[in-house]
Amino acid sequence: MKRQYVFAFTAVFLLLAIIIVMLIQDSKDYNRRNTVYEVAVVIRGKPNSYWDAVKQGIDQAVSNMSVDLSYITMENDYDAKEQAEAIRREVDNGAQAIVIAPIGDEPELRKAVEEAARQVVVIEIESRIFEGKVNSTILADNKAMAEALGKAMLNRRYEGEKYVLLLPEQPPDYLLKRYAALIQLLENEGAQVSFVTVPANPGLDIFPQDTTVCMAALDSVTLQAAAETISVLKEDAPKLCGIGGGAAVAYYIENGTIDFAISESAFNLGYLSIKSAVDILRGQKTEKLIEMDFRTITAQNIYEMENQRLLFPFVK
Amino acid sequence: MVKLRKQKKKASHEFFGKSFQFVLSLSFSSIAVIGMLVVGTALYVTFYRSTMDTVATEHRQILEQVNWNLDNYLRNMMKISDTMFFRVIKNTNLAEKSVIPEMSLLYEANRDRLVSLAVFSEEGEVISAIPLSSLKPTVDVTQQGWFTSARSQIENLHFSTPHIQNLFDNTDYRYNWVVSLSRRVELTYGGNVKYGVLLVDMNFSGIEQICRRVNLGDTGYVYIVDNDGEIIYHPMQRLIYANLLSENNITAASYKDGNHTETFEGKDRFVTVKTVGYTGWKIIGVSYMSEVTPYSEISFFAALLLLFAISLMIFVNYFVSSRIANPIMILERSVRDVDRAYANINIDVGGSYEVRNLGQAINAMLTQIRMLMDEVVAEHELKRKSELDALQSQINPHFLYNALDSIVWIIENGEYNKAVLMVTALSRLFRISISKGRNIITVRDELEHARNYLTIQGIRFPNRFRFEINAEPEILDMATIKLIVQPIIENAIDHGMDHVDEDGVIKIDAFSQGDDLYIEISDNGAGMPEDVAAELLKAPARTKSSGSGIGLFNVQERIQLYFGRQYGLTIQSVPDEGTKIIIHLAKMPYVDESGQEDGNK
Repeated sequence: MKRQYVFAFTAVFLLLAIIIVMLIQDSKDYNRRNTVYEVAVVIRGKPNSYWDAVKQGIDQAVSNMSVDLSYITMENDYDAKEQAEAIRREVDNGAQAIVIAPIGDEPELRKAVEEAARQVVVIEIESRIFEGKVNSTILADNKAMAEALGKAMLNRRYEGEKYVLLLPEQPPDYLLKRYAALIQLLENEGAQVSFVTVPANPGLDIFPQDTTVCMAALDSVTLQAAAETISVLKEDAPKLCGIGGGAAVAYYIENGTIDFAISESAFNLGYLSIKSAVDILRGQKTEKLIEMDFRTITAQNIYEMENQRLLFPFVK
Repeated sequence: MVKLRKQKKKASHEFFGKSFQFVLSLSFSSIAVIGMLVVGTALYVTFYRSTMDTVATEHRQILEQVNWNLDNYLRNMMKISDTMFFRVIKNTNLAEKSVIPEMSLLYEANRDRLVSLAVFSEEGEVISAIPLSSLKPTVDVTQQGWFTSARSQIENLHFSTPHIQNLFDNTDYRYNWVVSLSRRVELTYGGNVKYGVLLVDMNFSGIEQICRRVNLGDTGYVYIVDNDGEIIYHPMQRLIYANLLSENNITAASYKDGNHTETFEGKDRFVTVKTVGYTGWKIIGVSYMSEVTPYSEISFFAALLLLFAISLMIFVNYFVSSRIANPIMILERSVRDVDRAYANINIDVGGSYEVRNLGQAINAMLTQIRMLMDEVVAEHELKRKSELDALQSQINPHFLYNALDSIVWIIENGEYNKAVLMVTALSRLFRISISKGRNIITVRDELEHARNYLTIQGIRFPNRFRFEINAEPEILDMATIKLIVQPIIENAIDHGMDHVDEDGVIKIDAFSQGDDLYIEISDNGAGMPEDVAAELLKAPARTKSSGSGIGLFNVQERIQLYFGRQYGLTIQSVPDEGTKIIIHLAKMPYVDESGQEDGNK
């Protein structure tokens, strides 16, 4: 056979081979797009209004994507061992991706997360304890939120105002980061700062009944618990502010119990966690660190459209 | 224009100047590619139009249905508002009676569609409200959009965009997304009429239910915007509100009813718009072109397949055209070779019937030409031989006259023996010259002829030279052309012995070496320079000599005509020393006319 025939035949054959390879690849992509992924979400404690908002985002993502969801809540708040067991159990049950809101940097939990990360896709939300060891970390910048809170507190400060920081009994790592950032900011400004540990169902007695005090909670659960408790004091209640969102926080902002709140979008957090997991499972490129915006909500701006959309996930 | 025409002509000339296979292959491929593209484009356009018509029809029907349902829903809401206004509020003296009972009945009857019913005074105070009636202390109703719209355009019903209903106090942290329908109403207090605002807060789920199950293909959807492009309903409303998704709603609000195409976030979309009668809302149906006309999605594969098809076609065309063109090209090469050299060229005959016929015809023609040429050459050679032979055979009249004159002179001197010798030599000379018309004689006869000639010339020019003839006995019966030695001897006597005084020697030696036969004629005459000797064997026209070379050239021609170009004469001459001319012949036995070797001669 002449050389040009061999060349032409080879070219045609190569072209055919490329087409076949691309068709196979396309078929694989199609299958990948239509695969139902097993995703487990392990939150850090019991369900509450904040996690309900997160769950709405998760549900939205589940309805948009092909996901079979396991949503795991804890029996106890801040129990690292229980969370570690839940992670291991979900991996053993065939979860392809784990979304976790870690309680803290506990050895047992760290071991479980690292083991899971070797087998499945792991997305960390709300903290960056395992950043770099998991596939993606999604959160609002804790330090920035705490600093925004501190600046707002200082802006609204009046003569003789004292600050009390409210912390849960076993503050998780991300709360400690917020705490550290806030206390540094306040102390730098010469403010007097103390703190109160807030149990799951706090009594009124643990809160200072002093209108010259400004209390700051660093998470939605503590903020809501404090607001519910001190709301009975009405005009005698100390000033309350904090980091958190959801309908309950909005309610207490609106009725004046909470002076203001720094809110991130819990809905977005839930949605993006599932989307990132699915994107990674589909082989798409995702950011290793996704930082979300947050807003300062007051009684005056609570019904601005953007804030409505942030605080009240659209329920159809 | 002229330049263009010239370029066109040049391009055409260049194209058709290429090889037959190239022209054939390119023409086939071009026609096929153009054909494929034309047919493909026509099919694509036809299918595209057909698909788009179908999609447009489907969109229109679905949007009509959505519009009908939505219109019904809104009319029901408007009916509630009308009922509340015309049958309850207008007929109730609020100074004496509350509208709550009727309002409650109406609310209960439409509970699944309503969030609240409320009547406000122009100052924003709650007159009546159901199911909640305690206004939040922080709320200023008069600043709400639905309230200001109702007050500013008193004749109309006003529909808001979805928003959080934040009017009434509730302790369960419940915040509802609603669409508010408001209107200005007249409130009767005894004999006085005051103005107020009637608010019907529609549960957003009512609108959502109308649109939720509407599917436009797998990925298409329907959404609703108001006049300003604010989204009323969208299947991905949560994500849009969370800024995780965006929609082309602002642009779409400016579309007129009908079909449109748009590109949003890099995706081509087919959009159908339908305006809802009273509200001015627009129902917008969106389908992605990648789904409507999946050709665009598979366009890459289609392009690859097309490329493959074209490549395959070019390959096949190249193969087929080579099968057609190769025999013609081989024929053309053969004919070109024939043009260069006629000898022994055989034309390859192959390919299609016509090409084979052409090849055979050329082959036949070439055979004919070769035969004719061979004949011409042969005839030419024969003619040349005849001419040379005739020329050679002619007896120089001067020689005959001189010989006879010498005989007379000898007889007059009484030298009868010499006369007899001379007459005898002359007689033998003529006998061998004639040789019964044969041109090939034995070496013996040729040497005899030379001897007789020398004898005659020796008698004519006594004491001028002497001669010796030596021959190997075995070559005497070999064949030679007749009368090839005599012209050389004649030259030797005329030119070589001219200035020799009595000691001239002409020597003839005949011998063989291998398959060759040599006859050397040497003299010790004047000799000649090398360049003159070389000129003697060239064509007479080129020679500058006095004509003495004609005889040698003719001898050379005759030898080569009979024996071939490798035979002939060699001249070795040294001025003042002598000349040696070597006749080189093929050694072959003499065969007489009967075909028998003449061993006796």
